[in-house]
Amino acid sequence: MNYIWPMSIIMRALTSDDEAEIKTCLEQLKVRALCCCPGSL
Amino acid sequence: MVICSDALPLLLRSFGGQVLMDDANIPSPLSLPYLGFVNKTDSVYAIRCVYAICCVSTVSFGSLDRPPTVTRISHHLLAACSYQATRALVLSEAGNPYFFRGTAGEGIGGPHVGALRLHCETHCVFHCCNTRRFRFTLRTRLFLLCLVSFLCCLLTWLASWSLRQA
Repeated sequence: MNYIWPMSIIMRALTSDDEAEIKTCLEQLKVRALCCCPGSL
Repeated sequence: MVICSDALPLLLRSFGGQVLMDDANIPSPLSLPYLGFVNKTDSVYAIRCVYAICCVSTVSFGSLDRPPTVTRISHHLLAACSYQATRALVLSEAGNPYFFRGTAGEGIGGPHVGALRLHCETHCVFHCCNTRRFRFTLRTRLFLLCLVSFLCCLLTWLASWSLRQA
């Protein structure tokens, strides 16, 4: 419980037309990628 | 649990009983436009969405022995659903028990605890989104997702069966 899955953030961005929302999702994914595997970005 | 008549339930029983929630899995109510069942702007679900619901609830809950029967009541219920209302519901803490918000971000989790369990759908989505080579047609994507989900269910069942034998 209390774990957010990145796939849901990806799906949220893919199913949105709101640019601000998509940007927020991408920012979150970027932060997460940097946390999980530094050097990947 | 918030009852919202406009939102599409994840699980629907033949007598109209419904479960309003979403987890991060695919297929799911949130991913229906991605899979091609509805338009993002759809206010009313098409009847073909019923098949998506069968797929969603059967696969997500692993109840392959008891697939949900879609009756006339369910058809009426689905006709009143809108994607945007569903989206608003599953992306809110009040509507979806598996929507989490914290300092690091917000998003949907799921009832499947266990961080070390791999979910094959993630790989499918990754490959679908990643390169041009993996730009599948809708039908192939759906088929693969269903196949992978079925295999996961089968493996889980086999594991529990072998445990029972031991």
